[in-house]
Amino acid sequence: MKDSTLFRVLLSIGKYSVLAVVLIFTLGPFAWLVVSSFKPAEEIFRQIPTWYSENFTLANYRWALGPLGANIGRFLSNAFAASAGTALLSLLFAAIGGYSLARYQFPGYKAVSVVLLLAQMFQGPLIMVPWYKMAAALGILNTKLVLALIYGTTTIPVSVWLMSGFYRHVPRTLEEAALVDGCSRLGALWRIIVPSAAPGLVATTLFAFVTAWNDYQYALILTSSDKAKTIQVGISELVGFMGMSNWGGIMASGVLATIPIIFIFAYIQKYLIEGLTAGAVKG
Amino acid sequence: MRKWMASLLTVTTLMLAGCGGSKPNETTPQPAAEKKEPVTLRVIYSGTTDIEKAWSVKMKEQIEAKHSDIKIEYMYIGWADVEKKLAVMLQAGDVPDLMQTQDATNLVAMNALEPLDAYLSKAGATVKKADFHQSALEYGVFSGKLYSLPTAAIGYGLVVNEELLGKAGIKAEEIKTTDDLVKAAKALTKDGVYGMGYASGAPRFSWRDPAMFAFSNGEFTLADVDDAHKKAYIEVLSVYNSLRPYMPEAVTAWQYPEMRKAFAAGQIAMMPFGSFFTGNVYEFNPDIVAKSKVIPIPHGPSGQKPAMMVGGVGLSMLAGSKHKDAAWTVMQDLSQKEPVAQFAASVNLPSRVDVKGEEIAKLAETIYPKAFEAHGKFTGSFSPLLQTYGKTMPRIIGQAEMEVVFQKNMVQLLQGKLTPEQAYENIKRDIAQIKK
Amino acid sequence: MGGHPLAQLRLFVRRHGFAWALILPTLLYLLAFQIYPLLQSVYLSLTDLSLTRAGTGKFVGLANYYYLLKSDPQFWLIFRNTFIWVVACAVGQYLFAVPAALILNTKLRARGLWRGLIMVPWVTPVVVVGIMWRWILDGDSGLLNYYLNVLGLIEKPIIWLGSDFWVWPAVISASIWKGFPYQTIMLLAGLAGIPKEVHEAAQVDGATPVQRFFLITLPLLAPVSVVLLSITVVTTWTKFDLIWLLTEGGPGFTTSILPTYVYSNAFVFYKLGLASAVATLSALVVMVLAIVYMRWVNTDVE
Repeated sequence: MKDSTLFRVLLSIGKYSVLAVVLIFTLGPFAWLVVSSFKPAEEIFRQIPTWYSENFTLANYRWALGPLGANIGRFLSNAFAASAGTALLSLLFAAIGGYSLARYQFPGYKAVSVVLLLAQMFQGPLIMVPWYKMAAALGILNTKLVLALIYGTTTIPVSVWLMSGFYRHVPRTLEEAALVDGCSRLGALWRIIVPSAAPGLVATTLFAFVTAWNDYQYALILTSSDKAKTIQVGISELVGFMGMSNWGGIMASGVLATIPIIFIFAYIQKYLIEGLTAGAVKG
Repeated sequence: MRKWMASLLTVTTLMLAGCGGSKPNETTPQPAAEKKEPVTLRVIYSGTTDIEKAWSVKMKEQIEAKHSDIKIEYMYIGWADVEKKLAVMLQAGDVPDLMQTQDATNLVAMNALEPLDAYLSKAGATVKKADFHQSALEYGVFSGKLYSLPTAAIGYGLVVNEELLGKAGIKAEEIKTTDDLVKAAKALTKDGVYGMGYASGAPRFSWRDPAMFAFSNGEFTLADVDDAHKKAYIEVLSVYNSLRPYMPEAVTAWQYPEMRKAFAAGQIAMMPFGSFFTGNVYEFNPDIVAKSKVIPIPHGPSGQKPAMMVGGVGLSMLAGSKHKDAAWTVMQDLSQKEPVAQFAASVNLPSRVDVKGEEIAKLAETIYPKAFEAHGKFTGSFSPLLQTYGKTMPRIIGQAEMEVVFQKNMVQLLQGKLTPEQAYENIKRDIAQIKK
Repeated sequence: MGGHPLAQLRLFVRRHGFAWALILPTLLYLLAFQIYPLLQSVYLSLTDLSLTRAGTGKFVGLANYYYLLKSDPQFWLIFRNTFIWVVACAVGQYLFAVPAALILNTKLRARGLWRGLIMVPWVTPVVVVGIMWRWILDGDSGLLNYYLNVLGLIEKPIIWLGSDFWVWPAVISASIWKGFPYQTIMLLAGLAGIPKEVHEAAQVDGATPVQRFFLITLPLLAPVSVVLLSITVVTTWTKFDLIWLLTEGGPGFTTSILPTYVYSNAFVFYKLGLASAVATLSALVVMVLAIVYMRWVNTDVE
């Protein structure tokens, strides 16, 4: 009995130490960012770094949120809409496309895989001009929609590939049982198989959302006003070349741009990773 | 899960849709049916920091109040990205009306800009060439044609921390030749302070500082790798080689922010810099402005007297603009004395000869509350230097490519892997390749 | 119009129609939005288009390719760099993600919060990450040098981003920091898919935690890991934002990788023809690798 309590205590210590190490590595730079955001500009880049602020101030945050300053509320909501749109698009295409690639050796499936791969390779500078032309012709320049569409070109191929990997992991017995029970192929797919590849869906959504969230180049080229500019462009504009950059404000903007997403994920992951996969294991 | 997906779907659709998804680009310029139809001018503005933006907002209000038929729509695109975005827009056939420019070499080579000489000679023009400092104006002239009206002049020189210099018993004005410079740097390097700064971590800045020295050493550019300039070129590289012990080792990776930071913190005593100095160091330490002074870049053995590079920030009209007359009206309005003075109060030097440095101090009070007098003094001392020594900054085709190979060799020189002569040979070979 | 082809068509649809219907939306999407730009890029790569030189844009066949493969002093260096970058990032992120996922899979208090916090590097805006890491890695007063000095590990500051030796580890570390959260979440999802019963059965059989990890967890994670690594390789192959912010591919071309070279050529030198050729070559290499990978995977299917 004593052994097992000691063991449990040691295990606890061990677990939380590893967690601490992981978190220090992960959050170290971010912690500096947060601390700096409460410092006036002159204090931030001192020779000897301080992890506290001598002249604690909220001015940076007021500036970041205010319309005269960084006005990042707008950019955050734009980024969120574009990223959510991308995630949705990717999810829909990947949920069905991935299944096709995983289960069916249909004629041409090898070529399809190659096409999917190839499509992701032409990113960045080369597709910007054709995309700009296309977007201008369709009248969707400077909208969140065009951002979701162009991010889709990166995220959909990978998402399909991802999902096909997860689908391969789902035992065939599941669908066979469903078909025997009288489900149509589509019904079986929708009601049984997709939920059992739930971890894959989570991963896909996350991947697509954050890939879209992180993009700078496309947002720069395809947006031109507060209507659709994302947080990445908004923040990089704060770093001026000739004028005076508000470093404290930039730090605060960085924190504000990150924290909401963290909380959303922390909240969602409970229901997604645990709830959905519990369903999968049971089903 | 279905419910969750459904609500996510609804939310996203609402967000995407509720923001004017497929309306045609509301800024597509409609050809003005009659003169009364308000014209919306799309202006690319690259000053994305607070103070630069403030000027743009004020100007928009003034212009729209004065001209009922003109509306201004800004596209804020930072300096680092503006050329790139414009290139994409032009290739796709989407042309704005006005833009801010600095080095317009690439834009002119792309035939993107409208020559302004004809507009200036039209009757009723409210600006004339003589209004501006000639060296700043020349910056916008390519092949004899003027492509931009300068709003600000950018001067480049050696900025020194007079307090540190005083402690070492050096007077700024005494640093006239590169030998003086190296001696001063040596005397200043002690107790954690370095004499000289450099920002070799980015190609653009790695090129710029030695370019200033080349300019002062016989008014040549770093692209002049012919034998006629060989001696002077190697002299410039040798200066940097001699300065190695007096610069922080980290300069091989520094970009402008790190160098400015170090100067503001008093870690380096001298650095080649531009007239956008105040804002760039105020953000780190407002008190440094009062301690700073600018002198011309010391000249080397091959130069008789120093020359200071002069560039500018100006307004250009796009050749493909559909509202050239309205654009010209706005350009003129923004190049008058008041706007130019206000622009210079926030950054750089006034482009017009009728704006004096001292006036700027008053205007700068709200912008640099802790150092507006120092800013006025700094700016005020810069302008006369421009008059005496200022020469238009050279504009070189293919400079961007040359910058990269120059940086590569410069870093190796700084690390002691190449002698100045070896570095010169490499640079010569690489640049000759690019020029082909 | 004859009976035969129609019957064949009907058979085709019955056998493969469903599969094709599922993948068709994706293909149509890519056809509409990627293929045209792709074709245009390939065409551009066969021209000498340089925006700042008049009269360019003429068809020059494979001249750009010959230049890159034979005469360009940087191309092969950049090519090699790209491999190093991609493999180091993918493997590095994985090595950090595995312990992170394992620990986040155990019972912890406030586990949701920790899982959320692990996402921070991935979600922090790229520009801010650039500022943070440039400050950490600064050779003069950077945080890393400061603490290494305080801990007595170094005497002189290391110029992380300027030294030929240290710049790659520095840049790769920043990339690992930014990218490992994604792998962690993926592995978490994979771990969640391993039924508890498997572990419990092994425990009953007397397996130690270490044995259980290597003999049960890792093998069961293999499918996820393989997919994850290959996706990371492919996506890292075209990413350049972080490297660009940290070093601009420098000093010189030391940390240039294929995507930064495409970017430099396209938007700094304005040589769109050459940039397209670099991108096409880059794509071809990945295609070859992917085909090899798929052959290998398909021999393992089921």
